[in-house]
Amino acid sequence: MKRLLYLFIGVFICCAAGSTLFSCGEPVESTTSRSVAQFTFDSASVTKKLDSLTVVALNTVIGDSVITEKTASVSSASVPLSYTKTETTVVFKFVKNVNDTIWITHTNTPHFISMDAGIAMYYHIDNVRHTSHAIDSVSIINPEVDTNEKNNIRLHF
Amino acid sequence: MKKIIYACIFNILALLVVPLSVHAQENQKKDVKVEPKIIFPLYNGTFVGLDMYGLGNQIFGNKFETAEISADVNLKNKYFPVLELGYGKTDTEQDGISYKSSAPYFRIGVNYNMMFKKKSPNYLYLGARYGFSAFSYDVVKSSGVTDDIYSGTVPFSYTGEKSNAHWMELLVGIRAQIYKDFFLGWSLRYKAKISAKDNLNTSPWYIPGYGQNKSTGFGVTYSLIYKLPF
Repeated sequence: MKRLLYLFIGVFICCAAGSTLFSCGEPVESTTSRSVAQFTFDSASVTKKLDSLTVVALNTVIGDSVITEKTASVSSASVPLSYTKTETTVVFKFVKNVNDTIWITHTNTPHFISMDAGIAMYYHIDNVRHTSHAIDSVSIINPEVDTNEKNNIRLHF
Repeated sequence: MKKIIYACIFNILALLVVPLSVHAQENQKKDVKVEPKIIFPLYNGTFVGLDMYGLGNQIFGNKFETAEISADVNLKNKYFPVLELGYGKTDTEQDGISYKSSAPYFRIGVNYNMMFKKKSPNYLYLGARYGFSAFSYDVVKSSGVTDDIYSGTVPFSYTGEKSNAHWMELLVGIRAQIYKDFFLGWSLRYKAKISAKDNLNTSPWYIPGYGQNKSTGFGVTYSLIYKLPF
């Protein structure tokens, strides 16, 4: 019985110590970053055509806004979607004035995470349309856009 | 001359050691005394308690308030099966987000009296609990959610969101007699969540009886306890 008691005390102390450690490892609850659609580029074609990229979001608060500007090793881009509209339009500007416009149709749902982390907008991507100056095709890999970053849309060149 | 110094050192050491050894022998003699073994009956009384810490929680700036009563039975002065019933409540506003919830909860478990060999009115115990609560909550941001990139605001209001949660607790506590059949007791509790049901667009932030919806946490109870006269 004494051994059982010692075991119990040991477990309690371990749990308490573990809790202290785990509380340090708890997801950091700070102001939530905005959910963004993650675009990735088809790796087979990306090195041939893309050494720089500028992504411009249309119809923002200040008109057209540059949201991504990369000059080397372009393999992905993050695009914020509108909270209120169900379609977000962005222009991908590649080298030598080759531009493509992408229209992302989405369903918006505000999501409560916690009092500390606040509210984040989650999206379901319904459809993606595009022009084809540089982009050959587009595929939706994962239609759900939330605070867990994952690849959502793949561009093929 | 050296011999005299050695003799002095030896005498000093002897003076120090001899009383210690005599004292040790006395202790050994004391240890030999065998205290009569007390045999406790199966039933040794029922206790009911009121947790005062939960009631005064908000005074100390805590966002959660609980009212809790408990009942436990002393079996063999060793095992104390326990039932704890409570009502948890929060009405919190932070960064424009209002969160309201109030619901009952219960815990069942057992305490193990570490001083079971002694016939004492005071108890030092370890315990374990299983807790459960089914609850609903409202989370509202009256100003809505503003889009700072594309402009515009969307309304945000989820009311009557239903959820439930299970958890375990390990605890250590003390119960001390203050007057006749009245006792004061406190317990420190380590809590570990087993599960909490998320809804489609919201996650519960507060679990009645558990606290903030985190994987682990700590809790305290400070109770006034009465031993029933039967």
